[in-house]
Amino acid sequence: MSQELARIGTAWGGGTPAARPMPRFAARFFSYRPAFLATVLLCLIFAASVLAPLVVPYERDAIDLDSLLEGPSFSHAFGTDELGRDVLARLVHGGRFTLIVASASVLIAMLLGILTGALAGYCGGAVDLLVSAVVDLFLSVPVFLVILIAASLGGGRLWLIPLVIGGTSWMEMARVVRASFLSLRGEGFVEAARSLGVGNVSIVFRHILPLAIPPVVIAATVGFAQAMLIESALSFLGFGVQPPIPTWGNMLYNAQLLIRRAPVAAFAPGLAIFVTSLCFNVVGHGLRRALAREPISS
Amino acid sequence: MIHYLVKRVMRVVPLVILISIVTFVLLQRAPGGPVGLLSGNPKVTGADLERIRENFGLDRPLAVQYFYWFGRVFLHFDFGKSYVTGQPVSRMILERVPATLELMGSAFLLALAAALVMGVGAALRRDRFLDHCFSLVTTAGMSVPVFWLGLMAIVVFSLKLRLLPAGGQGTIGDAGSIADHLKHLILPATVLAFAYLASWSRYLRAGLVETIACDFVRTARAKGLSERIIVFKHVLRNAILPFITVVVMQIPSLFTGAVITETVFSWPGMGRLFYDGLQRQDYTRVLGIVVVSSFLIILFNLAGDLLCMTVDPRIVPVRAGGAEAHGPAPEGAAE
Repeated sequence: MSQELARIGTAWGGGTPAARPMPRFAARFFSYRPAFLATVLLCLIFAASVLAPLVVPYERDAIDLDSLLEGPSFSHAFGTDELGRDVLARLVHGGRFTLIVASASVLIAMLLGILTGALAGYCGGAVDLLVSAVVDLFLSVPVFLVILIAASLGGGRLWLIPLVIGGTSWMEMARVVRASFLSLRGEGFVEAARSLGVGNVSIVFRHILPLAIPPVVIAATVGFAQAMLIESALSFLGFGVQPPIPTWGNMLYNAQLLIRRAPVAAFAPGLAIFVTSLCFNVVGHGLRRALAREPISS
Repeated sequence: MIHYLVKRVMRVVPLVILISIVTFVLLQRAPGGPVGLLSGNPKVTGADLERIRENFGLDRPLAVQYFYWFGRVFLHFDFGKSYVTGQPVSRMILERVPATLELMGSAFLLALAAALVMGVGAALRRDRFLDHCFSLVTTAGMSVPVFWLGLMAIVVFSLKLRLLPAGGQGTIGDAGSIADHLKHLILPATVLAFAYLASWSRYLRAGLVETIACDFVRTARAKGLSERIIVFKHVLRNAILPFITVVVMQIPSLFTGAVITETVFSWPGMGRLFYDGLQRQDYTRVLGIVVVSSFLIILFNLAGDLLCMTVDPRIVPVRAGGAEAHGPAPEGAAE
């Protein structure tokens, strides 16, 4: 692993492994204050979601018919919903499912994107044309309509949603990976590996792929924000994760119906989506910035 | 040019057919359909269900059904009858297309105008206060869920301030007047425009900043041209082309936004028709809308390509619209 990292560092800006490029990169990343703040916020959001039952004093589905649709108060920081459930508790628990679905979607998109992109960039020729055609196809289709159809047919099965989101958002990743592979496959070290008798699979995954990782990480960060937005849009339309499991999207679906009586209930989940995806976008921006500022020689 | 157009269209036709096949097969596996709601009714016998299925042609093999459907669409623009209302789907869609195009068109123009202003403004005042402000707005615009923005706009402007209507396309009884119509359009169009404005203006800013660093700009400065003339007459012209390609590339996602905005604001367009159809398991309608909107998207893409070729005669259509012919994605150019 450390060898891998050293190789990445070498690709980014030269220097020996002893120069330790990763800490330098981290320093550059964190010196951009918005990215630092966003990282801290994201850590907090993830921690709260993971530790959900410990963080909030109410149960996720605890119904309290004496306090329906209450506004914010000391006992319920974000008020209660139409069944008297604590909005904050559902928000924190909802973060779990929202983040799980988004992570799984991004992982699937990464897997698909890396495989197709590597295939297209490394093989070139007809394979490249084919992959490019498929990417084109996905880019010129009203993908969201198809996502909606697929999700509605699945009847809100939890595992289906990441599959659908990931399966329709891998194109950016594929393009990024393909571009890196196109430029890297002609490099000397690839030729050297091949002359040593290293197989194609090994060249692709052990020699070229590590160098193509940085742009993939950036695409994944921005993709996470997008996956979250798609998931919440799906849930908001009622085709995503089904109640009683809370996600930020389906909390909004309920709140929308009662927006005249309890506008605050609609505010909180949306804000959670907004802040989290904002953080991911800012971190993506920071990563890109830190990569771009890498000095050419040192 | 004609040759290129023909080639593009030839590429496009199989695409639409492929989409229709995939959607068709997907929808066949769907629960419900025309008999779904009736099958629980004790007064409806098995023979009745069979008759209904026969009426819609659902008793035939899948491939045969598809070919019948395709033939009717191709020859008569007939998408079959709605499972729910019994109306011809093509008429339902055609009734809704103007509203969708109106919403998307005004959002599109709004986003375009704002992106131009913000992009140029940010590039001119690079790393200054205005640039940071715009950067904040665009980052927020990329991250905000459209439906939540819509909901919040309704809460603030309709429920609290009572300035604008919360939804619909016109007030009952006052539907004809243009002022009333515009009032209904403002909120959905602005909300829909917001997300696009963000990525477009970022992209334009990046392109401008890159172009400003070019040699010919230094020459223009050396000649003593004012910064204003340099930016508007020299830089903008060169930076506008990738901007156009990005704008064109995002047209499909404009349809996504339309489904959500139309639902939030109960705007009577195609997106709402689609959502409604999906909820009521009206699959002929769903299929029709998917096909019509893919067709529209492809048409817009084609128009965008032609626009690019008009703006920059250097573009020679070698390979009809490959993935990389569109330039890098907007995120890639944000820095």
